Amino acid sequence: MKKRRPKKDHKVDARQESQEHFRKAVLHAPFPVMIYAEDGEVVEISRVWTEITGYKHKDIPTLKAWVEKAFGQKDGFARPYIDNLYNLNMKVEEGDYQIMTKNGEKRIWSFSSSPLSTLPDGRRLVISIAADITKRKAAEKEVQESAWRLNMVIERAGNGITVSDNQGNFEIFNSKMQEITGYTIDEVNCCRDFSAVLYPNKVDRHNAIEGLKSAKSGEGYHEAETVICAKDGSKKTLLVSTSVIHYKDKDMFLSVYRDITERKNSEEAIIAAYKMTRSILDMAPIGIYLARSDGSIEYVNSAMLEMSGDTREQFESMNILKVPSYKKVGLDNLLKAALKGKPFFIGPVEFTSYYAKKTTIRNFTGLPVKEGGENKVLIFAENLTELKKKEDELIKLSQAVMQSSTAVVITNLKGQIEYVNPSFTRLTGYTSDEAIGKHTRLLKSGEIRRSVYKQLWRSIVSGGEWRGEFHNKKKDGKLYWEYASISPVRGPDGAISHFIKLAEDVTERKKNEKIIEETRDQLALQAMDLQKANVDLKLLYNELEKKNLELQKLDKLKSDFISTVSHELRTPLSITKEGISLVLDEVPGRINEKQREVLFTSRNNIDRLARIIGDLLDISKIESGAVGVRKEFIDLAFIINQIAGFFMVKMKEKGLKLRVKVPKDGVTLNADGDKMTQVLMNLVNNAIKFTDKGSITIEVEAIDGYVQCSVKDTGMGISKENLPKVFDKFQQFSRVPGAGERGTGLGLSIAKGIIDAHNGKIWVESALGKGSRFTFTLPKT
Amino acid sequence: MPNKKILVVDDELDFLKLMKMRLEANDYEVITAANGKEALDLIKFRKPDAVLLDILMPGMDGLQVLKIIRKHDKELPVFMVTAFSNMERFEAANKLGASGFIVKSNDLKKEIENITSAIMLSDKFKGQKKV
Repeated sequence: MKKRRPKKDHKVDARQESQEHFRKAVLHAPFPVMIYAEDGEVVEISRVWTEITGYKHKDIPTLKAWVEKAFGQKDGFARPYIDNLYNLNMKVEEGDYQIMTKNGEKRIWSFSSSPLSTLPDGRRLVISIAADITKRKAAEKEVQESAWRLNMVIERAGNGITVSDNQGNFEIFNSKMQEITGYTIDEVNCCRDFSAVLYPNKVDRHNAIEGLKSAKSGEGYHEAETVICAKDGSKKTLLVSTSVIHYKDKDMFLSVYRDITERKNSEEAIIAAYKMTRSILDMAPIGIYLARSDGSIEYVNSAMLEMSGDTREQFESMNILKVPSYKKVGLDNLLKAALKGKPFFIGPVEFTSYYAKKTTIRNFTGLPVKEGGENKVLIFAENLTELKKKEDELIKLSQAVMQSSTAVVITNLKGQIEYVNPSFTRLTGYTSDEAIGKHTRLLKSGEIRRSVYKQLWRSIVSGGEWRGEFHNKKKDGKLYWEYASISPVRGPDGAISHFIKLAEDVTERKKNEKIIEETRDQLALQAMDLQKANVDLKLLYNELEKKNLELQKLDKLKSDFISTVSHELRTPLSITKEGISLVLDEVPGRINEKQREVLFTSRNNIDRLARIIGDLLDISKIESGAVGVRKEFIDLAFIINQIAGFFMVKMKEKGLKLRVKVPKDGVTLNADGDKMTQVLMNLVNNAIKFTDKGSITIEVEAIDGYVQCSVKDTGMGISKENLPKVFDKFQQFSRVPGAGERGTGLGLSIAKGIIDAHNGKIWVESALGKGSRFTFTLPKT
Repeated sequence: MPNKKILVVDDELDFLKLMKMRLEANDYEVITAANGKEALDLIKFRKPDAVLLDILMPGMDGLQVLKIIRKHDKELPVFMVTAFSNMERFEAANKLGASGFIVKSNDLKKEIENITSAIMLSDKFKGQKKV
């Protein structure tokens, strides 16, 4: 170094001069500067260099010495480094290094080296300028550390912390916030406007943004409640404090969130509990109200309002220290005392409510309560009105028991008498003083079987009622009958506490019962007789039924008999008739007039007999239902004309006129022609028989679906009493005296039978002496 | 002209006797049978001009006899005799080819007159057929 100086001093030329200047400048540079040659010789260091490192130029004559000292490296310097520096086309080499000062202090220098110029001896120079960035580095480190710490704090914070811009983009979204929201940082980052995710509800979102804005508008700090929607859809109530910070060259919102959902919930639970308490109070059957220290009403429940009859508004507007009705019963003083901490009870008192003027009987209980430092009084009012009423009723009831004609006995569970009413005394002779405390067996006569008592006890102890009769003994020893009903009495807890016996004297009734029983026995005997008679009747009935069947059989037999007999009768009759006819016809020989007359009469009677037999046959057929109706289309008018012709001579002989009224076109109907002839023959024959003068009219006409035919005469007629019997069998009301055709009494029966078999009707209109009119109708088909 | 020969069949012998008297008074030659079998024999061997046949007879009744007669001879006048008029029986007999009816309870004189004319008619018819 000494060598160089003289060089410097000696060579005074422009270049040297400028180099000298440069060196001076370097020497006095406000930052560490070192100039060294390519061989490692340190040419110059700045004063600042020495100031900081403590090393003077002589301490570090070579780069190697510097490196050894500052970096603690033996072979820290290498020529290739400088070669490289030059080869790099004189580019500046920068780097931060930690150096060690002479007194062991560590400093951080930021080096920038660059090739400088060449020394006169040809050696290349390098200038190394260092900036002592120890402080900066330290500050940087501190910032880094504080940032890291901040991050730690932010990340580990018990609160959610976010930093966001006014667009809803989040720079910071800490773990707690992730935990609260359920969203990961990636999910937050990939969202353009994540606030829209957090606040799906527009109102919440609006409120949240308004909150941010108010923070921005200068308040600096804003606290509000906000409700966000977590990833799982649950609502979270967060308390958020927002302030504006300058972050990354922007005004941003730093928000600290506290999850108060739980608290919120518990708050709600408290509110619900409070509400429930209120509703319990409201539902309480007892009147409850709370008065403040000034006597105003803070709370009143429904039962109270119901009791007073006032509306809630009326009641709550009341000052109980001033209401006269409270004064009247002395409650005002009690209330004042209660407000000073002295509880009270008063009642029952008759109390009239202030507004509704409703009078009730109440008990009042006042409890002093302290709420929020204020003395209040909680008042319970019990409505005793109903209870009073019941009490009155009970008194009435007991009077009724007292006065009842029924003997009443109340016993305890052991059967010891606790109460008897006057009727009991009247019945048994025992006064209540004598009876009370005794066992009910006092009345036992010994005439009732033990099992009855056992059954009684079993029944009533199990809660049932027992009814029955006792044969008991009076005080004077007389026996009496009572009809008793014994039932258990239950206390308010539902357990049986007593037994009550209601008894009536039935001794008289018992006597009557005996009589009734005897009567009943007699009646029973009679009933048995009646039953027997009934059985006999039944037997009789059966027998009758049997006989009836036999009769029916007989009837059939009769019909068969008649039909057979009629048959059998005909043959000999025909033979006899023929025999007489032969004689009358003088086949066997001549006869005289007298003989002829006798035989003629005989033959007439034989004819009559034949007619009777014929009619009998017909009637038996009708009765057995064996009338064979052979229906065909016939002209009734034609039949009538035939019959008229048949009887013409007979009527002329009798001097009767015959009128026939038939339609010109005839009257056709579906009927048995022979049978119709038979009916008409009968009717006309009868008419002639019973008519001595006048006329007989035969009429026929068609009416709708029917044909009506009548035979009218001007004869003797039929009496009223005989009229109903006209169509009966063997009815001959007026025998025609003298000779001539005799009737059989069966003609009209047969006629009716035939008309009936045709589903027609036949009837007669007649009066004695005024002729008869027989009419029948037949359906056309 | 020889008298017409009439066979009267009836189980009532009294009736047969009187009928024979009545018919002979009317110039008929009368042969009688008391039952159906006898009647059929007499028809076969005596060849009557007409038959009066009682319907109700024990054993073979009149309708059965008529049936047999009509098997061999469709023209022989056979008059059915009944105790009283019974339409059903008449119809049954008609179907079997009865020539007419006599009702015993009626006036037999008139009935005989009726059958006489019937026999004469049938006779004429018979003669015409033969020619």
